[in-house]
Formats: sequence, structure tokens, C-alpha cells
Amino acid sequence: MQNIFKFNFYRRSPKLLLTLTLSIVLALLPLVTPALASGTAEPTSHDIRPRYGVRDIGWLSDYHSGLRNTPGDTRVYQMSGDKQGGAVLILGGTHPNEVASVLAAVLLVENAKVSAGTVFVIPHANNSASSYTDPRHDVPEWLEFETESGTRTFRYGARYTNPEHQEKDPKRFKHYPSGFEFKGKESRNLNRVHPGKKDGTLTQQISFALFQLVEKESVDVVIDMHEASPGWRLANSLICHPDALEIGSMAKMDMEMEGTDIKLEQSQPADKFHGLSHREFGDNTDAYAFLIESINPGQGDVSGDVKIINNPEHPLKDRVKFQLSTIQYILSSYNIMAADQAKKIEIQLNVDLANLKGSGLSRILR
Amino acid sequence: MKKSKILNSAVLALTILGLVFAIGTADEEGESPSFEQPILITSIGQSPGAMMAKVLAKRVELEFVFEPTATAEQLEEMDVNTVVAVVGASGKGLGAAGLDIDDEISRVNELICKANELEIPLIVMHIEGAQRRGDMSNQLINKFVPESYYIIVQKSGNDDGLFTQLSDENDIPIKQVEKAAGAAPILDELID
Repeated sequence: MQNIFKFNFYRRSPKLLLTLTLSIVLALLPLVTPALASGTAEPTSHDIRPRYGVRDIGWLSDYHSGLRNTPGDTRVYQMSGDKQGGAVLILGGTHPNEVASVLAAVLLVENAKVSAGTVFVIPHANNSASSYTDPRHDVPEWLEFETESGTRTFRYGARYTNPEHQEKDPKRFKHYPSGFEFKGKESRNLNRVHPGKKDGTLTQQISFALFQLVEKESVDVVIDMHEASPGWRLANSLICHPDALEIGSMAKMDMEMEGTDIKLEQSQPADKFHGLSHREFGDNTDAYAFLIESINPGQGDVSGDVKIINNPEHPLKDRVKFQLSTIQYILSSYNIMAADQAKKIEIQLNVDLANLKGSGLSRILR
Repeated sequence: MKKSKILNSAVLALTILGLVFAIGTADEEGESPSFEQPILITSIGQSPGAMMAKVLAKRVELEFVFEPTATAEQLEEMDVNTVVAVVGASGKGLGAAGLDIDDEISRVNELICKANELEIPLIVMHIEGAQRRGDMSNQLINKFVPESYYIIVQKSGNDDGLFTQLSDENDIPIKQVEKAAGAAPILDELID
């Protein structure tokens, strides 16, 4: 009897049925949209052409399964030397609009050879933020390079996780676990959410996975590459966790001897600011943590004709060179000062940085 | 008679010249006290410059104590013969040390008073170049550089001649270096 009633009800009121169904779906939508958005989208893929130096290519989700099949997942390139040694994690694209960080990481994957220790490179640390270009900024969507193998393009990504991949920004974002408060949109800033949260937002889970990688792989050094707008006080800087400041001091002075000026700073105290990679990796893992800032004329107040690649004052090749040189000086200082000499890390870049001229990057991209 | 007069005048002139020379030498020696190990490496302003000095001291194998926030009380307990203070203000460094600029000024004031009381000479260094100049750093430079017995400065940090001016006004020897690492051999030569 009940079945007949239902059948009749549906047959007689198809419009009502449709309305009811739509109402239920719409009512539930806010609860399931973020999960759907991050749970069904594929991670953005990029044109990266590893050389023999790369021994293994994995996923960040190998370290936190919650990231699997989400736009936050990203490739992890592993290079190992014949000699045992320590491990370094090099992050590009924490903020994908800071393009020198991405290109420097790509060049490592495509050119470097490791002779001692293990090097993990993640060119797109926040891959969700690599999936779009922030329309509020008048910058190109793609960077193009004419290489020997043809035109290669790299996305000019955004600073924040794609808003379509994460629930709506809260009014105020409370950093986990400190409770320190930021503006709501900072919930999508990978470099404000460290050390992340296992069951948190997509951005927090990306961070959580990075910390899992550092723990599981016993990483000794973490280097997070960034860029800053010209004139910003941290432009052209090496920022060190206090435990890493001695290594940073040696790197700075050696760079200076080679003719590269770099400002040295240390992390703000833990009770003053939270969520930054150099502070949180230094505080929450055994790794020495560093952050490099080159100068990007595409950041800050940008006019339409800004040249990102061939800017006369800050050409991209110089910024990439600055990032890669700083990495090399950090590691050589680490090798001298690290207590355990069996933990050395040695990378040969196989690129003549000193002679990167003209369209230098086009020549060394594969 | 004439000959003996000339001789006397010559002796007198030589004596005066000798005296002038002797006084001059004594003055120079007075300006540059001897600097001896072990040294205390401390900061004036909590920038990373003190850590850079530590790296340099290691390179030339100086015996040192590293205490960026050393107090007068701590100095009294330390077995050191020279204080090397690296000047440069950093908001982050001060914050990390739990100090504000006024706390830092009073700490350094007390430290220098105690060093004077214990007859421990002070060398001031500025080795982070032009990037470590600014209002807060200038305040510390103007206040504490005149208290030193020797100044070592990276040239780009002295582009406006402030250190040279303080050196001239207070009769303090100054050594300028192109690169921060150039301070290492000077420390090595200066400190026994």
C-alpha cells in the first residue's frame, strides 16, 4: 500500500519530486563541495623533463594518502648519490607566482647530479596554486621559452591555493596548532599553515605531507625558495631558523666573496609569528631550515608591461642563478659545519651559472 | 766656543726631536691597547652579524665565548680579555632574544661599563654592509662606537662615512674591509 502510494505520488507530481531533490542537493552542497572539489580534481601536470640524475619520481601523497587524487598532490623528484650522505628537501612553487623558485627547481631536476646524499625536489609545492593565474595581477598566464626541443611553457601560478579547491575562506584564519590569527585568505597560503594538519584543509594537508616527508626520509636540510617584490625588506635575503644561522652566516660570507650580496636574517620568534616554513621546519623537525628570497619585478604593484623574464634590472636568469647559487652555498656550508661528516650532501649542477647570458634559461632547459 | 754652541744646539734639537717622537709613540700605544684572547663575541642590536663574527673567529682559531646577549654580570664571571661587539639592529633578532631596543641599549651600556671597570678593551665591528644600516642601527652605532678601542667596518656599511667620522672625533683606530670575511685576518692580527 505504501509502495503504491509512493509510486503514485512520484508519478503524479514529477515537478514536486524534482523540486524536492534539488532542494536537498542544494541544502547539502555547502557541506560536500570542498570535499568534491579537492577529492575529484586531478593534480595539475607540468612540463618537466628529468635527466638521469633523477632516480625516482613519486607523489607527495606517498607521504600522506589524504592528498591522493586531489589538486594538492604533486610530484616529488628524488636524486641520490653513489655515496651515502644526508638528505635535503628543496621546495619550489610554495608560491607559484614566485616563478624563479619553480624554474630553479625544474633546472635542478633537469640538470643536476648528486654525488653524495639524497636530494628531494618538489618544483610545485602548492600545486593547486599552480593551476591558475591570479586575475587581479596583470601578469602573463604562461612563461614561454624557445628551447632546442621547441617552445616550452610554464604556468605563472598564484600565491594562494585555488579557491575552487578549498572551502570558502573563513573571516579569520586560525593557525594550527598555535591559534595565531591571520586574515581569512591566508588559510590558502602554504607558507602560513605549516606544520599543517592531517585532516585539515587542502593547504594544511599539503603542509602536513611535506612534514611527513621530512620525518620519514630523515631530511637534514629544508630549503624553501621564494621571491619578493623589489624594495620589500626581505628581497634578496637568506632567512634562517636560529639553529641554522651559523650555516647561513658562512654561506652569506662565502657568497659575498664570490661577488653576490645577500642579506641574512633569522626567523621571527615562535611567539610572534607562525606558519612560515623556516620557523616551523626548524622547530618541529630535526632539519636545518632556510628560506631564500630573490627579487621578482612581477610582484607588488605591477603595470601591464612588466617584463618577467627579460626584466632589465632583475632578469629571470639572474634570479634563478641566485636561487641555485644560494642552495649550493648553503649545502657547502652545511657540509663543513654539520657535526656528522657522514651526512654530507653534494650536488653538481652541470650548468655554468657564471656564464648564463642572454636567453640563458632557454639554453639549459631541455 | 762657536763649535761647542753649534754642538749644544744640535744636541738640544735632537733631544727635543727624540722627546717629540717618544711622546708620539706613547700616544699611539695608548690609543691601541693590546687585545688578548679569550674574547667575548656579543651583539649590539641582535642582527646575525654576531654569528658571522663567530664563524670568522672559528676560521682564525681564536679562543672565544659566544653570547649575543651577554650581561654585565655574565662578563664578570667570564674569563675573557677582549670584548668583540658586532653592531647591527634586527627587529627579528631583538624579538627572538625577548628584547626591545631600549632593553638592548641598557644591556650594552651596563656591559661596556663593566668591561671598562674590569679593564677589558672593546672592539666594535659592523660587517653586514649597507643592508644593515638604518635608523635603529644608526642609533646604536652613534651611541656605542665611541666607546670602543678599535673599529672594523665593511666598506659598504660606511658609505656615508659615519664610522670614519666617529673614528676621527674619538681618536679610535679604524680598519675598513671590502668583504665581511676580510675581518678575519684583522682579528687574527689584532688579538694575541
